[in-house]
Amino acid sequence: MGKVGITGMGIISAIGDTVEENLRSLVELKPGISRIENLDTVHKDAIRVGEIKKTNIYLAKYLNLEENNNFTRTAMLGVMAARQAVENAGITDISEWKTGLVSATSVGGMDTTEQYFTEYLDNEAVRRYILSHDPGDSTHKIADALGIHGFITTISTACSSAANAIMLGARLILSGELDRVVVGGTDALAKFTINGFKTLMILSDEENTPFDRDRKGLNLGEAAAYLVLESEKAIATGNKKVLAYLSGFGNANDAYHQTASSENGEGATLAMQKALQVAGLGPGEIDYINVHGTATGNNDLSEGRALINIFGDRVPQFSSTKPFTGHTLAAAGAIEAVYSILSLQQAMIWPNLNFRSPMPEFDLVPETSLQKKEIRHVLSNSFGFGGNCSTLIFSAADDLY
Amino acid sequence: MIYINGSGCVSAQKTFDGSFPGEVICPEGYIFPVVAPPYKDYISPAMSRRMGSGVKNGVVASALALQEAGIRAAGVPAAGVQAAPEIDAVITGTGVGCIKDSENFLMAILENKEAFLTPTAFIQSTHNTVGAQIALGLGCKAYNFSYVNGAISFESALADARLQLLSGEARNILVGGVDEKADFTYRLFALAGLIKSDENTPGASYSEGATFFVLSTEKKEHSYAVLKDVTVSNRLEPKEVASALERFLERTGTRLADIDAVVIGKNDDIGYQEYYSGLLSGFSPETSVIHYKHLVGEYNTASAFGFWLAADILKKQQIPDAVLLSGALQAPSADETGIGKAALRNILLYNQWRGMDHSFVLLSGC
Repeated sequence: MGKVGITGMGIISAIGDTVEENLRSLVELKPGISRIENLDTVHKDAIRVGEIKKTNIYLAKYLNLEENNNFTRTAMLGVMAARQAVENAGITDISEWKTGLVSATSVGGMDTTEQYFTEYLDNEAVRRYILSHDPGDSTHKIADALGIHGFITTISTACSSAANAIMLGARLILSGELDRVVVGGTDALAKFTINGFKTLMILSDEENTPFDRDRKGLNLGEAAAYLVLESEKAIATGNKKVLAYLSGFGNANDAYHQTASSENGEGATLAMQKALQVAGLGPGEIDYINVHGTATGNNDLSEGRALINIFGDRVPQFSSTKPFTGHTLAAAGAIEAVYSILSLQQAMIWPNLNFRSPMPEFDLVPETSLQKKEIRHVLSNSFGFGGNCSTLIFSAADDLY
Repeated sequence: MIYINGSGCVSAQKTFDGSFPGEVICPEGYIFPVVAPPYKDYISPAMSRRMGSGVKNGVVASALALQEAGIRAAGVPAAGVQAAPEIDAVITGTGVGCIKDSENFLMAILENKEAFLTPTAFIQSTHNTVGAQIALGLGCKAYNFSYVNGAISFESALADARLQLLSGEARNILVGGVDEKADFTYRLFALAGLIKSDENTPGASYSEGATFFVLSTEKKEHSYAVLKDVTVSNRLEPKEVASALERFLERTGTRLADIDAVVIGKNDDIGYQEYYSGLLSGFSPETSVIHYKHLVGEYNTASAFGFWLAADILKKQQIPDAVLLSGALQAPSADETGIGKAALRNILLYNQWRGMDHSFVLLSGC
């Protein structure tokens, strides 16, 4: 198999507007969980969220958008992160190589749809947003902002979406279909998802505590993150610096329930198995796992069992970074890809904040403090509604795996 | 080689039982209803009540495709699930997703000021519900992706399937396109100029539908056609279409003269027609030009119907009257065709949506 190099990354999340800011927050153990400010919801005092403290007016101004633009928050966050990724990759001429874009989102432009839904009928001025609801809309806007023409598509598989966007990107590079591809995801907070998760009774009113015995559920978050993947040819020709390699990927379906994960974690087990197989790695070679770890009763139990299925009594050091960012839904796989790559680069394991007591079902304890450790291979999990289970493996740039 | 070994289609025509094209419905109005298949033959009543129309049509179309491909008997057994190990991936394209449940949940949020909500509509509203419900019904734990990029949602799924079949990663893939209509959203689409409100307004006639296929690396006796290639592009100018086609054909090693028929995604919108004239400019006037949206309407994955139609034409070696826009019903070489050589060999498909999300697909006879 050829190699898929990662040459750029960009991110905006509740813990920073850039890769550097996110890194600083991780190192200084500064979570981004707070009360909601930019969205009007009756639940604002009952929930905590990973909100980006930038108003839509600020974002539009920052991006130099025209007064009558029809950018949703999802699209604006996406453009901000994707631009950083392309800049970070040192790309000045986007058409130099055959370049595509694979973006992920869960509810697309729902953040504006829910503001204007009934107003559309009488107020012509806001109708320009009607077509921004489409999940492909943010992808098109990102492609236009980056000047990408050609293979553009959007993936929506709930909370595993961005991991799947990265996976398709790898496939497009390995097959030679593209030389370069920008991959990732974007999702803004919306009343729609807040109320949806609320009805499922999996929103915590406190800071989320993944893999804790007393976990009460998740905190929703918003974020966008993108990576630039390049072929060996593009990397060699451009003499590009590789941040890390995407060495393995796997996707499987739990086929158990529309929203719940199976108790034995079968789908997650299959996804990790496939990813290890693609990477040609044994379980013992994984140095750190960035778990999905949403802090819902169901996810952490299912994922924990899957970890034991794969690693037995030698589960590598692991943590969930969702106490920093909240669960950023379709963006989560890309956010955690950035944190996995930072982990390889900085030789650090990010702590699983808020953890107090182990779960009674098994003997798994996440890392609770910042650890310095040489890391060659990081495994990152993302699972979603509809039984969707995805695993990515990132390997150190100097590693000839 | 990638073979189309099974197909199933629910549309505004009677496609689910093979009545179309023998029996053609001339749809009325600007929003065409689908001809409902007998859902109870495929889905238990308890499941059916919870499912949106897109999910139901998707489940039926996928069951038909699997049945025809001989991969698995149609119908989801009410008790328990049977494993379908032969399917290596389920890949779904859906532009609007489960828009009806999204709409219902959003309406409830707005009307009740975020109180008294139940999770059912939210659970069913995610874009990957169709693919998830198919997997759940089949007990299929394989790769499962959903593409949601407007008019190339289906072609994205097709491109993904093609890569996996060519790399040897998969041998049988269930791939399809499904979209559903929703009253309020379609009202908004009309306000945004997507759906026609009378003969002279911009916009097109809309509908909904579900079309699934089994793509395999193995040729079967009943195989429809060969998927040669597929490509997508986010933006093209009308004058760029011909050169984009040239690049696509070059990739596949096909000459323009080898194309016997062109299936275009032309609809009744008065705009954007220059994309199709741009495409056809290089073809001889004898080339058969086929359209279908006058029969099944516009929707994000309507092009999956075009794919279904082209596959059916290649298998039957006959172009139905109702879909022929210009050119001959049969390729000009039909008379001289020797035994074993099909008259219609290569069919090109081209679709676009309001100047965006262009796709080219090449199908060949088996």
